[in-house]
Amino acid sequence: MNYDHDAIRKAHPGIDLEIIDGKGIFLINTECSQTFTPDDSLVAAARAELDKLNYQNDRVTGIGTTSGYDPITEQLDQLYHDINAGKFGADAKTGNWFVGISSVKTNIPKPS
Amino acid sequence: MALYTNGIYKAGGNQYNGGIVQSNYTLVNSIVSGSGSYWHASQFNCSITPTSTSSKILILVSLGAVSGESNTQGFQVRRNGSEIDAMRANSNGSRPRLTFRGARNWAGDSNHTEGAHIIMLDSPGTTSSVTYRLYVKGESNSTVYINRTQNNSNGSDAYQGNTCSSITVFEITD
Repeated sequence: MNYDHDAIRKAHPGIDLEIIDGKGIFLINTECSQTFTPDDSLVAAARAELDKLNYQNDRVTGIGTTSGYDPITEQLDQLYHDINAGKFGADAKTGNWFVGISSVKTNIPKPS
Repeated sequence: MALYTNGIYKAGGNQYNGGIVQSNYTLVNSIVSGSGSYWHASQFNCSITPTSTSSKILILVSLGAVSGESNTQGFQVRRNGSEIDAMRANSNGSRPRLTFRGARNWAGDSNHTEGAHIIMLDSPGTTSSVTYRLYVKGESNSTVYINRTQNNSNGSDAYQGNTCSSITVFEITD
């Protein structure tokens, strides 16, 4: 059995656990002798909260054919060219960097 | 042509019987996570009973992927649960005396990480069974993951892959 490590930890903050897929959930340094049973409802709620943050990673990696953010070095180059082209003030929103970032945010929206 | 002999002798006259005389191997191909200060990654146990008090034990730890909530993950290899100077850094202020350490991220996101590998040579000086274990200390005692990245997103690309890890011990005699 594979566990939802992140949701279990979020559901039970402050408890140091060792979670081993295929074996169990244990209090640390007990050599697997003290099992821990997570609260399923808390874990489900934690998973729902974590899923709301998936968009952040999706904006980094992209989804399928929808691109995510360009690499940092490319973004910096875009900013250089925007500045060099005098894209200041309201014009900054027409620059390559701002348009690119806005496109990703629009294509992969933050869940409400 | 084959050459047969009853033994090889050192220049000093003692018969040479050395080399690797036994080994043990523990595979960890599940995802493991833990938090706290120096928690024992309980899957990483490897025992061996030396045949001689002068034997050396070669310990190989291979972590396929190491990641965590914070930037740095520290590790100690311990013998029978005890810190051994031969398997940790020298004392230097209040700095953790680690055997090795890893880092979480690559290129500023949590989808990428790397493995960590260490080779240590211990001299336990006993013919009783000794067990080598891996202890973990995440930055700020935060969660450390073994065999996955922090995000552990599901997909078929290489950065989404899970890994396997192992601890191996060899007895080496003179």
